[in-house]
Amino acid sequence: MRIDSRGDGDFSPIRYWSTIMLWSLGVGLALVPAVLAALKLDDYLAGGGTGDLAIAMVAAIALSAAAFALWRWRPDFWMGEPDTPRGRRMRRLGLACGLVGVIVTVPLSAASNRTDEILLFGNGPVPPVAAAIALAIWALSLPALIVLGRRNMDEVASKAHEFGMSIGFQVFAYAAPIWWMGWRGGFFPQPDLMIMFVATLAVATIVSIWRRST
Amino acid sequence: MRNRLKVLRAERDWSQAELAGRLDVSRQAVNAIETGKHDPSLGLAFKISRLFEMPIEEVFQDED
Repeated sequence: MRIDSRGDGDFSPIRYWSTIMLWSLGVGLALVPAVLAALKLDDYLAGGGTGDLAIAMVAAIALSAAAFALWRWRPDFWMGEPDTPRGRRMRRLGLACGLVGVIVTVPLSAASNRTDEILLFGNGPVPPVAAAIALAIWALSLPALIVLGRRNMDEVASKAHEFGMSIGFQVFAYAAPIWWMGWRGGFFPQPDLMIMFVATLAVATIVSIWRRST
Repeated sequence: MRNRLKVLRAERDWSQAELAGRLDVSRQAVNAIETGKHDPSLGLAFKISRLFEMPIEEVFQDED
């Protein structure tokens, strides 16, 4: 068991969650040079000038620096969380979730061209092959990730997770019939499954974090 | 349920992180138990009592 000296003090939920949120924001910001590097490299390979290559290289360097900083100041170890077998499994699981998130975008990105809407975030038709690959990745990996997550969470995290998920479902069970009946009555637009999914997930996540923080 | 986790931990000069490591839970879990926000399962309660080498009722007491 390895413990960083920063774990000497008592646990502070506010410090912990603000660090997690800032770090997550950092991950989001690191995507900017990643996308820029990919776009400019694509332009260069399509016959663009050396300016495109230079921008791609600068963006790649910025991405490398961001990746190092995110690794160096990653939550948990940096905040003094002990290095235990369960903790290691949960960190690997977090990494696997991130990888699945990235991999699932690959077939959609490959099927997009620069004039299309972004297929991942749009709501329009997707080429069948790209859709089949993306949903197969999702359908095959998610059950394993969910089972591993539930088996390796400690009981405080598990209780907060179950509370968050139950509130998320109750919000869904409350809102979905209202939207559906409102649509049938002509008051609301047609129910959108993905809006309900994102809203349910957001509520479940926020409630779970709140539960773990109070 | 009340518990003496914080006192027992202090007597051994263990940080929350060290106790969390010995129990294979997160620091957040140790903090939640110490502050009474979470009552541990029987399994974890027995694990805690074994770690401190004392009967479970000397670590955890009913509020009544």
